[in-house]
Amino acid sequence: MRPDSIRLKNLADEYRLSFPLPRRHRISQARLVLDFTHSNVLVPSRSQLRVRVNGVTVGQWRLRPEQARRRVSLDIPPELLLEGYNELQFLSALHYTETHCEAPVSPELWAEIDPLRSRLEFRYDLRDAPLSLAGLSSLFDKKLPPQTVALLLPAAEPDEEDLNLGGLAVQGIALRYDYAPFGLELGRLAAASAEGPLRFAVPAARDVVVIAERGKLGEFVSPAVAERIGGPYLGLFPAPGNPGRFVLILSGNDAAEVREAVRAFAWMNFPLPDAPETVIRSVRLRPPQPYQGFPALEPGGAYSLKELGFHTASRHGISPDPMAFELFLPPDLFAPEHAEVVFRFHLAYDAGMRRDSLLEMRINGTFERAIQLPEEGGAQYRDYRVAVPLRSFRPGINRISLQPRLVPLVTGECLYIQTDNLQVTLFDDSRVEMPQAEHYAQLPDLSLLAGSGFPYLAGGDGASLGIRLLNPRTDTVLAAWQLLAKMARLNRLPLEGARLRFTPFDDDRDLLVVGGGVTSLKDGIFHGTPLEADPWHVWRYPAGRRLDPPQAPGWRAWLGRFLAADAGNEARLRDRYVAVAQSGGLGRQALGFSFRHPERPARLVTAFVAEGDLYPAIRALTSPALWSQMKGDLIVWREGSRTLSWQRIGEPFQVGDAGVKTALLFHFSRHPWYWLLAVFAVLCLFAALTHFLLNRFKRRHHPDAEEIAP
Amino acid sequence: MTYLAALPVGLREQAWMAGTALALLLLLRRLPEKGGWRVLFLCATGFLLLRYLFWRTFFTLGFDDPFSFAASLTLYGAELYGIAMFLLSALVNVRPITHRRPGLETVEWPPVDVLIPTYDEPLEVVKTTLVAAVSMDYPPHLLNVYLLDDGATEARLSDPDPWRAGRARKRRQQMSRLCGRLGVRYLSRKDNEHAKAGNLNAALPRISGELIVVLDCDHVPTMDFLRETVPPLVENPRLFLVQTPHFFVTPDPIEKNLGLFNRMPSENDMFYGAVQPGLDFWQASFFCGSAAVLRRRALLENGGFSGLSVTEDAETALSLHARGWKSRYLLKPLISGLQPETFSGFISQRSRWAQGMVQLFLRKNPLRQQGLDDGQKLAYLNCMLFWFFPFARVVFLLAPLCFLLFGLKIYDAGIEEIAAYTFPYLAALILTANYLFGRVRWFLISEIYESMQSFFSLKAVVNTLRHPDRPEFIVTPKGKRLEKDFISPLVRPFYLLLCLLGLGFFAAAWRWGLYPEQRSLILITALWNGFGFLIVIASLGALYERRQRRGHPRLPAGDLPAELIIGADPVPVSIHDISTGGAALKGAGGRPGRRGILRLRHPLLNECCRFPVEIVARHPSPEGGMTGIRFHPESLEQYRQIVLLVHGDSRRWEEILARRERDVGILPAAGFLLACGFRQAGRHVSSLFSAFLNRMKRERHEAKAVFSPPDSGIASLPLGAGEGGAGHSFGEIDDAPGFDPAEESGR
Repeated sequence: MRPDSIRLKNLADEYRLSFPLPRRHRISQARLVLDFTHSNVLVPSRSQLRVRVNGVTVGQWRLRPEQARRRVSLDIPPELLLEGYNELQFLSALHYTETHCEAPVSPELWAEIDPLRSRLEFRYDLRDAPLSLAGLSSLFDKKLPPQTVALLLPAAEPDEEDLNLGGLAVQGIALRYDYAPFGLELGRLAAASAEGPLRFAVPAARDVVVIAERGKLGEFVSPAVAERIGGPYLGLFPAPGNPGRFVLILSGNDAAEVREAVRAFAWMNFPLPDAPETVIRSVRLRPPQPYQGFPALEPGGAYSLKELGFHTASRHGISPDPMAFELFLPPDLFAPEHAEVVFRFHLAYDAGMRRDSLLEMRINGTFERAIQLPEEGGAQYRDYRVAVPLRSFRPGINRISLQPRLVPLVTGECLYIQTDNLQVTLFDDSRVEMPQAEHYAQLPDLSLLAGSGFPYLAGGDGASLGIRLLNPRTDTVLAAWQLLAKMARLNRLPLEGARLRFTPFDDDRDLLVVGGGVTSLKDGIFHGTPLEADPWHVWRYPAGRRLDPPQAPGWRAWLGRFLAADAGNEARLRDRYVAVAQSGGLGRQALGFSFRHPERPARLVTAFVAEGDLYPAIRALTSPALWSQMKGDLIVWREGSRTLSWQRIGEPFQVGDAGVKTALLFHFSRHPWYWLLAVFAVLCLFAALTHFLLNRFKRRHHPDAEEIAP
Repeated sequence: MTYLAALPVGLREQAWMAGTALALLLLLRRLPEKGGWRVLFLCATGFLLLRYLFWRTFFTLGFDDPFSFAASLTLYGAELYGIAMFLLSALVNVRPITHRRPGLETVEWPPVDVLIPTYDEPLEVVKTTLVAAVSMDYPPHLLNVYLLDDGATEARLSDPDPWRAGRARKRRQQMSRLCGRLGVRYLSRKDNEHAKAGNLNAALPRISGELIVVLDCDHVPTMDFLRETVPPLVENPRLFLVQTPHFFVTPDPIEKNLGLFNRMPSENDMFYGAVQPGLDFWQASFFCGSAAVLRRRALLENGGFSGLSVTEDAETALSLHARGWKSRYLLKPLISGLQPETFSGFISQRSRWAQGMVQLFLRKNPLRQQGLDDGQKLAYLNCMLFWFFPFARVVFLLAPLCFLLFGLKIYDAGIEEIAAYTFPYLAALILTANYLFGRVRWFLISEIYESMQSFFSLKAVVNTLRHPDRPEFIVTPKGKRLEKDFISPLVRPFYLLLCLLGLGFFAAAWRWGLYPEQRSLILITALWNGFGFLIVIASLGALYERRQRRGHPRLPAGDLPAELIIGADPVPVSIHDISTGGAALKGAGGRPGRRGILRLRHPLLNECCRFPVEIVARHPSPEGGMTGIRFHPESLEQYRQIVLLVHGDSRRWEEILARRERDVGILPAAGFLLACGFRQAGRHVSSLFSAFLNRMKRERHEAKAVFSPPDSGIASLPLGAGEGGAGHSFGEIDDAPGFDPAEESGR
C-alpha cells in the first residue's frame, strides 16, 4: 500500500518528521532529495517551501505555477545532525494573490511531498564499537538500519540447552532493538588467528554473540580472557579485524553459569556497568505477573491517564498533533455485548473558538466519538463522560487519540484571524473506567496472538509457552528464535519461562510448532486436525456467503427477530467454502495454523511450516506489516509479500475462568429478550411460591382471619 | 431472583426490563390488591429495587477524592437504609389481615379493670374519658374503672415549691371528688418513678380483674369497646393483647395548619389502618399504650409493664411476644382521642417515640430476642428501624447541595444510567407506596411529616444512641387552646434550610454556565434540590400555627333529628355537629341568649333525652339557617348522655374513617398537598412581613411580639360555639361547665 502524501495546505502550514541517527554511524554526507507537487495557481513572489533541520533552515524554494512538480536535492550540513533523533520540518507559505485579501483555507492553497520518491541519503562509516556493557543499547541500536546478528556456538548442531540459551539471548537482542527489524545467523566457532584476545573467525559485517562454556571456549580466546571467566561472564570485544563491529561473549564455567550470564544479558537494560566485562554473581527476579510488561487494565478498575503514561498536554493551532495514550486490554477480556469503557475527560479550552471546534476521539485510528467544544467563552470540563463499547477495542495495545480541530471564531478575508487562542488542554487526572469482565476467550484466533501474544504470554514470563521444533535444521532453529523474539517484544520483557524442544513437551503448555512442510505433518501433535498429514491435501476455497441463521417465514420469524441473538460484534454473514483435495502443496509459501491441542483441551497449538526455508518466511511474518494482519486460524503468506491470506477452518473452543454467571451473562447479553423472559418467569414463580407459603402460614396461625386490602 | 437481579446487562436491556416492570405494576394496580397479585406487585418492585441496589453498589461508588467519597458513602448509606426499610415494610405489609369476631353467645364475661393514667391533663379532658369508661356496655359488677393520678403523687404533694404543692393538692382533691361521684376508684402513688409504666405497675397489685383495659386520659372509649375487644381474649387464653386503633377527633398541628383534617387520611391512619393489620399477620401487632385490653396474668408473668424504655407499650409487647404470648389487632376504632395542638407538642411526642424505639433497638434488639420467630423479629425490626428516618431525610435534603455548592461527586452516574436505573426505581417506590397505603396515606405526606420531624428527632435519636439510659418520659401536652395564629418557634432550621436550598439553585445556575458538559446532571440535581425546596416550603406552611379555640372537638353528627323547645313550641331541627360542650343545629332557632331544651331520641341508649341548652349564635339563611347552642347539663346523667351522644358510637368513627380514607391518585394528592402547603406558606410569609412591621412599630410603641405563642385567653365562639370549658388553659384545674359534679353522686 502506498503511503499518503505529505500534504501542506492553507496560507501557512508545516509538517514535521523525525529521523534517527545511530551513535555508531559517523555521517560524512547527508542529502535530502525532495519530490513535490503544488497548486498551479500560486503566486511565485509570495509562495515558498522551506526545509528546516533541527530548527535551522537549510533550504527554500519558490513555488512557481509553471513548474508545479519538482524534484530538488539539498545537501544537509553534517554538523547540523545529532546523534539520536533529528527533526525535519517542511514549512509552506502559499498565496494565490499578491495584492488582495485571501481566504486562508482556500482549496487551491496546497502542496504535496511524495514520501516514496523523496528520500534522505546518508554517507557514513562505522565508528569503533563502544566497548562498554553500559552501551549495549547503542550496540543493539534500534536507530541502526536493519542488522543481522550472528550467534556462534561451539557445536555444529545446537542441542536443547543451546536452543534455550540462544532463545534467551535472542530475546535480549530483540528487546534492545525494540521495534526495529533484525536478522539472525547461526554459526559454529571456528579457530582463526592465534593472536589477540579472540581467536576465532567472525562473519564479515556482522555483530557477533558467542554462547559457550569456558571449557569449550578455551581454544578460541586468549588465556587471559579465559582466566577472567571466573563465573557467569559477559565480555565485549572488538571484532577481530573490524573494530566497528563487536563480539559479545556470554560464558561461564558450566552450563548453569552460562545460563546465568545469558539471563543477565537478557535483563540488563540500564547503562550499567561501564566496563567491557563483568562476572555475574546472581540474577534475582520477582515472581512474574500476567502481562507484566504492560500496565494492563483490569476489569472493573479505574485508572487515571497519568497512570497510563499520559501527562497533561496542551495543543495549539487549527489542527495540531493529537493527544494520545495507550491502553493495554487483557486479550481474553470477556464482557456482555453492551459493556462500555468509560472515559472521564478533564479538559479546558480557550475562549474565542467557533462552535464547530471539537476533539475527534479515535481508537486505533478509527473515529469513535467527537467532543464538541461549543462554548465561545471557553470552558473547562470535569468528568466529560465518553462511553465506548468494549467491543470497539482490540485485545492488547489500543491507541486512543484526541485530535483537536479548532476553528477561530472570527474568519474571513481581510480580517486578522486570531489563532493563538486555539488551544485545548487534556489533564492527566482524566480517568478510564473498565467494565466488569471475566477472563474468557474463544480460540483459535490468530488475531489474539498478533495483538497480544495470547494465550502464550498470559503468565507474564512465558511459563506457559513451549516452542516445539520438528527438525534441527538451522532455518528451523532461527525461525523458532525469531518467533520467540517476537513474543518477547510483545511481552516487552524476556520470557524466561519459555522452553524450546525438539521432542514433544510433557508439561502443560501452549505450543508454537515450527519446521517442516505440510507433507511432514505426521507428528502426533497434528492428530485430528484438518491438516493431518495425508497424501492428498485438502484446501478450502471461498464459495460465497450467507446470512446466518436464515429467517423462517410467518409468526416464528417475527418472534425470532426478538429472540434471536443480538449479533453485536459478531458478523452474521457466514463464509462458505468448498474443500478440494489435491496433491499440490505449499510451494514457496509458508503456512500458519492454530488448533486445539489434541491431548490437552485447554491448550492451543500454533504451527508454522513451509516446504522450503522457513526462517525468511518467519522473519517476514514477524514484521509489523504482516504480523498485524493475522486472523482466523489459518494463514498463508510468502516472503516479500505485503499481505497474507487467512481463513477459519477449525472448530472454536473456549478458555478462561468463566463460570455459570459468565456463561449466563454471555447468553443474556446476546439474547436480551431471554433475560427479560427469565426475569418475569422467575418473578412469577417467586411470587407464586411466596403466596403459597403465606397462605400456609395464615392457615396455621390465623385460621379465623381474612386478608384485607387497607 | 437475586441472582438475576445481580447480572449486569446493557442499559438498553435494563431500560426495557424497567419499563416492562413498571407497566406490570400499573396493570397490577387495577387488579385486586390482595392475594397473589399483591405478592407479585411487591416482587416486581423488589426486583427493580434489587437491580438498582446492585448497580448503585458496584457501579456508582467511585473514589475521586476523600470528601466526595465520604459524601457519596453517606448518601449511599441513606439509600441503603431506605431500601432496607422498603424490604422490611414489604414483608410486614404483604398480607394484612383482620380477624372475624367471635360469637357473643359463647362469651363468659370476665372481670375487667380499666386503668386510666393521668399526669397533668385538665380535669375536663379526664372527666369525659371517665364518664365514657364507666358507661361502657359491660356487666357493671365485672367492670372497675381506676384513675391513676400521677399529677398528685405524694412526692408532688410535698413539693418544696408551695405553689406546685398547692396545685397538686387541689388536683387530688378535685380528681378524687370527681372519681367518687362517678364510681371510679382514684389511685395515686408515692412518687412518679418510671412515668407511665411505673404508674400502671403501681396499680397492678391493687387490682384483680382478669383483663386490663388501658386508656389514655384523653382517649374516650365507645360504648361497645369491651363488647368488641373482650371476646377474642376469652376465646384464646394465650392472647395477651387486643389492640384497637387510636382514632383522633382533632387534627395534628400539621393537618390543622395546612387545612388537611378530614380532607384526607390522617397521618396515623397508615399505622393503624395498614401497618398494624400487617404486623398482626406476623403475630407482631403491639401495644400502643392505650385503647387496648391486656391479660393481667401475662403482665404479671412479665413482671408488669416494662420500663426500660420510654415506650413502655411496645417494650411490654415485645417481651410478651418473646415469652410466647399472642396478640391481636382489631381494626375498628373504639376510642376517640386528641392530638397535640402545637407543632412543639407534636415534636415532643414524636421525639419520645423515636427515643423509645431507638432505646428498644439498642437494649432489646428483636434480632437477639429469644422466643421470637423470624417474622416477629423482622416486623419489630421494621418498627424500630423506621425511627432512624431522620438520618436519611436529612441526607436526602442536603445531598444535592454537596454537588451544587461544593462539586462533590455524590452520585457517579450518567444521565442514561439514571434514566435506566434510578427513575424506574423511584417510580416503583412511589407506585408501591401508593399501592400499599394509597387510601391511608397520600403521596408526599410522608415526605412532609418526616422532613419536618427530622431536624428535631435527629438530635433526640443521636442523644439516645450516645446515652441510651438518659431519655425521660415526656408527657405529650394536649388540651391546649391557641388564641391566634403565630409562627412556630421551631421554624428556624427550616429558614436555614430554605436559604441553603435556594442557594443551591444559584449554584446550579453558576455550574450550568461553567460546566456545560454536566448540564444534564446539574438539571437532575437541581430538580432534586427543587423537590426538597417544595417540601420545605410546604413545611413552612405547616409551621404557621393556626388558632384553635375550642376546648372540645366538634364532630359531625350525621344530621341527627331533634327538637328544639324554646318556650312552648318544639321546632324540628337536625344536629349538624356536636361536642360535649354544644352543637350546631340545622333549622330555626331563637335569639342568642335564650334558653331552651333540646329533645331527641338517643341513638345508643334508645331513650328520649332532654338537654337544657342556651342559644349562643344564630345564622339565618333561606334554608332555615344554623343555630349554635351550648349544653347546660343539670345532672351527671345528662352529661353522660351527652358524652355518649358525642363519643359513644363506634359506627360514627368508622363512617368518618371511610369518608377520609380514599385514594385520589398520586398526582392529585401531590397537587392538593402542595397547593395547601403553598397557600399556608404564603400566610407564613405575610405573617413574617407583619412581624417585621410589628417590630418596627414595637420599637416605637413597645408593642407585643408576634412570635410568642398565646397561652391563655377566652375566644368569642362562632357558629356552634357552645363549647363548654372555654377559657380553660392547659394545666388549669377547673370543673366542667354547666353542672357541678359535686351536686350529684354516682352514675
